[in-house]
Amino acid sequence: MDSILTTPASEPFPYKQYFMEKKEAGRAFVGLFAHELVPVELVRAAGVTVVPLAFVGPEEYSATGGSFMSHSTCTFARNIVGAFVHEDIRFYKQIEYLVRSNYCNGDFCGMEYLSREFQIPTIDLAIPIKTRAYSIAYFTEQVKAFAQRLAEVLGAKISNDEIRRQVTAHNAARAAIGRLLGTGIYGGELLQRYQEATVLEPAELIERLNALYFKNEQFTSGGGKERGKRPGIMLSGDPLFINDFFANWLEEFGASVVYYDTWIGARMGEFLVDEADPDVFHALAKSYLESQGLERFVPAGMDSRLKKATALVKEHNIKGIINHTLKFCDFQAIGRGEFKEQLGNLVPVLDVERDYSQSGMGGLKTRVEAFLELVASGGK
Amino acid sequence: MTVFSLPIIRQGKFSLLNSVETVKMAHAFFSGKEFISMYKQKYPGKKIVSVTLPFSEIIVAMDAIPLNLIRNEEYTYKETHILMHRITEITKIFGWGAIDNLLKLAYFTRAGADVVDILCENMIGALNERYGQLPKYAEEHGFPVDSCFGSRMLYATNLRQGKVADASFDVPYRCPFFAKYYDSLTPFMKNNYLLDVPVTTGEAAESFLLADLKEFIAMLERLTGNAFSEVRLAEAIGATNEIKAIYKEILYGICKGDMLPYNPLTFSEVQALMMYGLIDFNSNLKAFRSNFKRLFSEMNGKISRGEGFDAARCPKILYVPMFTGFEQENIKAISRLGGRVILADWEIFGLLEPISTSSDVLRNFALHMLRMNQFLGFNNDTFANTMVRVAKDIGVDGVLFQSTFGCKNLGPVLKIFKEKARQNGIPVVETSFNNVGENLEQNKTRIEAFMEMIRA
Repeated sequence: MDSILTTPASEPFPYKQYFMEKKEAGRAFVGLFAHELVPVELVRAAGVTVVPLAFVGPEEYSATGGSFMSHSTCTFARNIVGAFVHEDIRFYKQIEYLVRSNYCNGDFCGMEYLSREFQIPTIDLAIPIKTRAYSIAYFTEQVKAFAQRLAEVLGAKISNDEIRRQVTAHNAARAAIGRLLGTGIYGGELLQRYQEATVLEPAELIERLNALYFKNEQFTSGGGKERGKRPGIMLSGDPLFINDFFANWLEEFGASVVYYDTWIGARMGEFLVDEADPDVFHALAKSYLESQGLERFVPAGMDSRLKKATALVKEHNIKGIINHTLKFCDFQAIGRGEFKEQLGNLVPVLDVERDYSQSGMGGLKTRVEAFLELVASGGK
Repeated sequence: MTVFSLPIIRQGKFSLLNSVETVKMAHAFFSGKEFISMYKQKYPGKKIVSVTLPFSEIIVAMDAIPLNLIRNEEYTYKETHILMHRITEITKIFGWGAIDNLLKLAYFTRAGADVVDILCENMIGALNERYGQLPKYAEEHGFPVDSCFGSRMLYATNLRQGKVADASFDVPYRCPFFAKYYDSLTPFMKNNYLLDVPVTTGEAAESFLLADLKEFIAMLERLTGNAFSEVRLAEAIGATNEIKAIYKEILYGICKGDMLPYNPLTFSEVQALMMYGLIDFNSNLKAFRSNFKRLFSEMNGKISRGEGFDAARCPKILYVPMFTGFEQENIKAISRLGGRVILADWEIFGLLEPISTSSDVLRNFALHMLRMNQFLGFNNDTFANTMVRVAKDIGVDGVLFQSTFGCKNLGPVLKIFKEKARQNGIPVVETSFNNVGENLEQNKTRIEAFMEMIRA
């Protein structure tokens, strides 16, 4: 494992080998539809390995997934279902349980179809759509019930002490993720670290970040990274999942994404679970509901998103925003216009909607180039 | 004076006689704008609350007026609005008996043997025409083009008619996208309240939903100046329980039987009126209950007097889901091919179940909402099972599954439903559209093949 964790920053992380080693160590795999509202602390407290379904494949995966659900289910959910059918992502085949939630229709329906077609039992978690005090009370009960179901199906004992240990460990990992922005890394390198953070256990993540940056003399003595004269771009909206070519593609065209305001991104390091709360389930429910899922919650989720994005532009000297929407995403489509209009008053905003196909890349390239020119000219 | 044009008279129909309650229901539905304006004059202090699902008892209990905003549209199709206005004028002066007499007179002149058919067809045609226009209006006003038909249609309706409402009661059950859609109305809908009906049952879900309902009630109390009363809620629920019981009798009695009160096409259109009317009780619960009860008697009377339609040889086709948008041409195609359509969405969703009016009525109301989990639920498997059960209970010969492009929540049930239906010997055909009036030929071909298969 040590050698894996010290894989050079510029190289792709060997996920396949990572999961193989976990399997060899006798770990059960629990697949998690890659959304941010499932407290992973609980899953890890059960002693299993979390396999985030965050690995995407080519567009034919989405087409295959569409034949199960509907072709207007979000392209990401269809891609995940398609990935199981195509069997290219080998470690998916070793998943023994799936966590399913009502986060979005893609999760809700996609996991049900995966469960039916591949006979993988699901462990359900119901998430409210509001964040009122009574929503938190309800979610606390759901989180408790989720832990119970995990323990039942896995035959594991999940003690409150172990959950607390996991909370502490994950808080430390989040703090480490939060420090990434201070290293000056950007673009694909920064994104890779966030993507790895969805997979690695807290101690592994911290070890890797220490090796690459925080305790790496070569890195620290060089004063971190300088992003040169390229103007800083923020990517918001839907995250870029593992294997998505779009991140590299943006870099090739000179877009320096210095801030990923996405849930596979800076948001992973922006919240802590209250360790002083005597009820650990309440602490988890409260922090997740109040700090994550900005795009999902109502009412006025859009207002919060606009305020946050506005603050980030000022705080991080952002010169342009790429608002990224995956086709048929439940939460991104509504409000795209408003986002572009409001944030466009501050900096140029490029509104990108895409699936995993390469067919529209020519037109997109032209738009990105024009956007970068606009950003470089200071939006004039 | 403008007179609505009479289309070609079709022979052999007996739907005219004794159909005044049918006309009354259609009139109440399509005269929403006129009614609301009248209520506002008569009761200036009363507040109007926009609703989209049949949970309006709570609005009535707060002495506010529920309104399905689509009813506030003006239906100009074949001058339906003028006809509605004439009916209002006549009934104001002479009462509904005059309409009954006019219909009878028309019948005896043979000139109006199909008047009720035409009325229903034109009115549903008018609704359909609006359904065709509204999504485009939404797109023109920036609403995402690849959103489901229902959300585009409702967004446009809110944008066009929302000003009339003092508040909005939104229940985005099961579909997170719909929650976002409802939230997008906030900039132009006053007091836009979203109720979170959880996808779980049990004590936590119950307390959670009750707390949410109480917050909504508190908002209505501030808005209306009325204090919430369990007694009034029980009264409203009592009235809707009566309506729902009759609705079930129509589904499991008349729809299941061989004699229909009207020809099959008109009957399906009357069912659409019943279904849409239940959402807001056509803004007047007492009148709606009375209308519904009499409509049922009227249907039974027509059947018992032999004025109905012998549909023994007409295959029964369950058209589901239709509340998210239906295509009138599909219904017409089935009718032309000798079938009869049954619309049972509210039964499939569990919304026709009675609500207890004893002890804690608000809790009972919350439990009623949570009952959707047993019918639709957290799994498409549950939803598919319910559709199969209802199809079998009504004894249908086939199911037309209406897919609408962009539906991410109900649409994905289709594969599971088809499997289960096949296991139960129920043929299924899928038709789809993005906007009303599109895909007509393709859908027609599918329906033709489907009906041929059923008849074989």
